[in-house]
Amino acid sequence: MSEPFDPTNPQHMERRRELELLLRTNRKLLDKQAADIRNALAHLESVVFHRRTLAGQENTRLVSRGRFVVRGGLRIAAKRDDPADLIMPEIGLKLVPFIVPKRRRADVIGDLDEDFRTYAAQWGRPYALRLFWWEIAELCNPPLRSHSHRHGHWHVVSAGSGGSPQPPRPVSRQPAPKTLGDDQQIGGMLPGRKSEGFAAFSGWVTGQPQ
Amino acid sequence: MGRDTLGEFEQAVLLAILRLGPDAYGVPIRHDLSKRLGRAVSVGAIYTTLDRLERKGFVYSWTGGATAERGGRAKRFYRIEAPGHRALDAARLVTRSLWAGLPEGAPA
Repeated sequence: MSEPFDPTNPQHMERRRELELLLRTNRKLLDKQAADIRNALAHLESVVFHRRTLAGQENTRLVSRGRFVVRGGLRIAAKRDDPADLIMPEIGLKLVPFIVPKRRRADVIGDLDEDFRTYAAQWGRPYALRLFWWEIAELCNPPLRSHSHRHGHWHVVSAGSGGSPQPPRPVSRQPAPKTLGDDQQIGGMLPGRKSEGFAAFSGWVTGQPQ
Repeated sequence: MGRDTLGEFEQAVLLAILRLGPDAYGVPIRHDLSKRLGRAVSVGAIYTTLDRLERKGFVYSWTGGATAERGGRAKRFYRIEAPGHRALDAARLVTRSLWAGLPEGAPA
């Protein structure tokens, strides 16, 4: 059972001073926290209502130590408007000449650059970097690379040809079959590969009546 | 795949070029395909397919002017040629023929 406050009691006065100090400290911290939240909300409103890009993530943090709130408010984790964030990593660009043929190099780098700028501005540099390196990895896909470099540059020597150079064969790079449409090739209608049901359609390829 | 045949992805690329009209270049083609196919489409896949379609004579490409959003690099635009249109028409006929007689929403 709590005893009534006695101003003449030194222990009571000591306890009262402690509680006053705690109250003042927490009030000061809460004022600062409210100011932080107001600032963060103003920033978010400017993003939402003025259509500024929001790159990165928001994080609400409230840290307490004992009975004291030592830190609080909204924290904006990423930088927004740094132009350097919109530039592709140089090391990735240095890889591209090794994996993309010269005649397509400018187109591929242009597309990568445009995508990187768009994604970095909209979703932040980390997201744009992830997509960029995924694209580079896809470009390193051997069928694509061999197709690109063989075409017009390399000769494929097959074991059955007596070692004589053969004309380059384009290597098709089709995605893994996922749907019925992958097998729906019009090749079934070509002369020599005609299937009965498709014979009527093959005229468009050869211009000859079937 | 034969010279005058169309695969599913080739057909999708041709349709994207057709849909985009004069704005058909690598980035919008890829974004259109990603949206419609529901999966990520890489730059490499697009250019490999566009190369193949160009060799088959289905599409024609030309280089536009330099643009700031690509760091001063030019865009390569694509348009469908007459053989490409014919191939798409034929593909549509085949699809219709395959679905003929089946009710909509038939179990696969």
